[in-house]
Amino acid sequence: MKKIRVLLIITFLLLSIISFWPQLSTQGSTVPMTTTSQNTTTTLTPTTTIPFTTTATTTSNVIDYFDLDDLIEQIYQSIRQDIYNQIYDELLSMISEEMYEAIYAQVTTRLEELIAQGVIPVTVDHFQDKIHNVVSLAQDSVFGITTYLGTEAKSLGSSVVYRFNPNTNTYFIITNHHVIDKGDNFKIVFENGSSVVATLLGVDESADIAILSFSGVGLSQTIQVSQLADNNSAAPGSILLAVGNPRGYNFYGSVTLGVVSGINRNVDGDFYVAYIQHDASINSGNSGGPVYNLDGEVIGINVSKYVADDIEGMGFSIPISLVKRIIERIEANTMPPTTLKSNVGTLLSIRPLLNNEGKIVLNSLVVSPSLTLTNATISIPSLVVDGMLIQTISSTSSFNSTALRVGDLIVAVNGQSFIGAQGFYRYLYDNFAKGDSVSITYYTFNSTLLNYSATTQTIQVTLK
Amino acid sequence: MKKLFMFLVLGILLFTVGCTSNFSTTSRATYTIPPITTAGQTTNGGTTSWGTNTAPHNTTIPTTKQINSLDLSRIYAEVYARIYEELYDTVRAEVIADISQERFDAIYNQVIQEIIQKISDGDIVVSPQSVIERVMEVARSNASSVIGVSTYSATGQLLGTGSGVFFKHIGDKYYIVTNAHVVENGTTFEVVFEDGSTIQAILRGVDQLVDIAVLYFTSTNTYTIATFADSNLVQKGDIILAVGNPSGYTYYNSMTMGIVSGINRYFDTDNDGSRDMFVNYMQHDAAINAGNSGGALFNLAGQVVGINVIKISSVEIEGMGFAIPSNLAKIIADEIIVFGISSRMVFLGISFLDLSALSNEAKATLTPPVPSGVTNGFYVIGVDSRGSLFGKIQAGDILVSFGSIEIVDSVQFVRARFETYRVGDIVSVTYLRNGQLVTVNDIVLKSRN
Repeated sequence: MKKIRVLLIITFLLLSIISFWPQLSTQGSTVPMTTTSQNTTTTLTPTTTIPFTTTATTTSNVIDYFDLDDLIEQIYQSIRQDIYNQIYDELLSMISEEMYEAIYAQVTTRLEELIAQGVIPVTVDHFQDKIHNVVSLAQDSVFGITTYLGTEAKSLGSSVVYRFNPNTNTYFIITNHHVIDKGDNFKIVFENGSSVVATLLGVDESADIAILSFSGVGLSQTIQVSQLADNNSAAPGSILLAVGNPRGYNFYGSVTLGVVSGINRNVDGDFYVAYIQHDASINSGNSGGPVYNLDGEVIGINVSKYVADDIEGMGFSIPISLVKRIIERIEANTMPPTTLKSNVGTLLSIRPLLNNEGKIVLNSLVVSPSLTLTNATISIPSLVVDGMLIQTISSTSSFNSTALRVGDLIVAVNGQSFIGAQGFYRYLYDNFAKGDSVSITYYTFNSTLLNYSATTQTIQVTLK
Repeated sequence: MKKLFMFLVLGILLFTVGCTSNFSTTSRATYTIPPITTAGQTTNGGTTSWGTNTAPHNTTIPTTKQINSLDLSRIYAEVYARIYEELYDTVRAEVIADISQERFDAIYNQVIQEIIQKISDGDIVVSPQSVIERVMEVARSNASSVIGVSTYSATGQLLGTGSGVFFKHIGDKYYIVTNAHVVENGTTFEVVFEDGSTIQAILRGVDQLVDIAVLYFTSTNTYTIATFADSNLVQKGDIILAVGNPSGYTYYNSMTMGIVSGINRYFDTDNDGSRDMFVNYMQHDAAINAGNSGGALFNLAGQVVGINVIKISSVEIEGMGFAIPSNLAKIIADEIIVFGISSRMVFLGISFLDLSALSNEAKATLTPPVPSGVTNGFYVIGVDSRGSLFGKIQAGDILVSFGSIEIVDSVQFVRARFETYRVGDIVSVTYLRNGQLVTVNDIVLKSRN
């Protein structure tokens, strides 16, 4: 406060000076030290008061004082209170803002807590979280597999763990048959480069699936089992994540994102595998690896893709439903040697060939070694719009050594009719395997009249 | 200065008003202030007197007291300001003391209760942004920080086009980050905007090894500068958006979506059979093509997590694109801005096995063997004669620390190395040989060239 007084003193002194200043400057001399003529005293007119430049309410600029100190003290107090009030108000509004922000921050934190605890229900987009969860699972469930012929590494791909047997401390994995078919011994390779010997349990060559197992003893890698999804859970538009080792272990555990582009795709023309088509990027090295849905369930096993200059984003996975059937058979030891797929020779669906007159025209049909029909117009039994016409019966065909002949028209399997080739094969392959016995309902072909028997016959056939 | 002034003032005052400025009287004199008027004046009414003891002044104050009001109010303002400044801290402390914790708590509780009530009543709906919305937001707000870069030969022939990202705005200069291979062999460069307009840009510098280049131009316009995220926080599975100009400006500012497929990917850049660890590439499956080079890889928050640089290109390969992580790109670009070059890529010249990632069975095959209990460090396989460690380290040594970096694993080491060291730095290195820890000092860090 002393400072202020000094300042005030200076102020007053300054003011005094200033009051003399015009004289000083105009007269160009110092203030006279001595008296001026007594004769020229004039009444000094009171000056107008100059108000303080403050918004404070200083109503009166008149101060009663005892002495200079007292005067200064009063002026000081008056100014101080005004300034104090002004600062106080300004600071209050500023600190209110600080306080506001502090409250705001605390409120936001508390709200986030409540939301996280579920007290405040919020629909949160879990998409990114789900992806991360799948990635975490895949890190401990999808591994590399290297195939050796002797000690020479022949090929590598990806694999996924689908089961653990705690009694034997054994893990079971799925991969593609083509990943393991060039060698005779196999190793599961982990991200850190360590590996463990794997034992081949069974294959389905037509599906391109192989099942192996490895021991969990002394492993440094944490292993998680991946759940296999329910059948038919992959619908077009479902989002999926492919995991594998494209181009080898330098890109170990790569994850890519896509959607199911289509289901029941007939990629290699034999209808056995109803492929899932998707657009998640996959490359060689991804073979045998899984595609997961966002819940972390395996919906398919990657096996192939279209490769061409002008094609991208068409990858194919074996649906998990077929994989499960194969696994079941392998584990039950009822897996036929090479594949579950039954051989029914070549069949032709009449549905797309039927003309308005109920006839079909075949370019050629080898009925027997001595009879080949060419450009044959064949009358289909009335009211029949669907059927599989037997084109060939080879020695390996299930229809070999049965009553069935080339030209016969199959209309039901186990009493079940079907729509188109797709319907026939899906029903056959999804429900029956090599070794199963099925009934075949058919019309007998008359190769002379190029028509069919009036009624159907049904025989039992063991699928081969 | 003040003192001098004071003396001057005092001196003048004393001279002017004489020696008897005796205010110590018992009676009070009423004055209009300012200025101080002396004896003999009339005030606003009534006569005044000094009182009997006041000696008359010997000087008469000159007649007209023209007060220069402008100066006075300025003085007041100055004095006011000084008082204000001095009082401020005192008052602040007093104000703060007034606002008690209780009051704070009371307000807080009231606010939170009201908000919770409103949420449960449905007056306030809480719905965070979905991924879909965030992708749209990146397209709306952040994609504009990615522009085109055209490179011209000395004869003015267009050599190629690519992408670039607004990196910094310093003074009136805008700095663009792109790839070194985008500006390769160029003499003049243009930054290209969506409307086709262009600005001539100057090449500040390049780093060939990392494949980063920085261009700049001067402008008073306002452009959106990209925010660079901490790429160490990026995880496999993160959704990312690539923005660039694939196949040229007909497809300006194309955005594609994907996820991070893998991190810390290394390539054999010099075709010597072993992977080089200069850049810890970020692998992703967002579709990128020639022209995306130098463009940004954004996260869902609209921050740059990488600069796209390469993809594995072949008929059989799709969805394997790579970006330089933003942390590395930033360090290199910052150095290029200041120095015109970057000297971060120190070349150790060792090929090694990362012990932290090595299985026990693999360790068991090594000779000389790894001492038991040693779980971290680089088991040296070979040493390049051009490398900084040539002549100091040999095959079989286990490198455990490099300068201030205690080796944990190669990921940690690569990051720490480019963040900490420069070519020309002198470091100490500690390694295990025959079970003994050896420290070598005064190793000068060299570059690859």
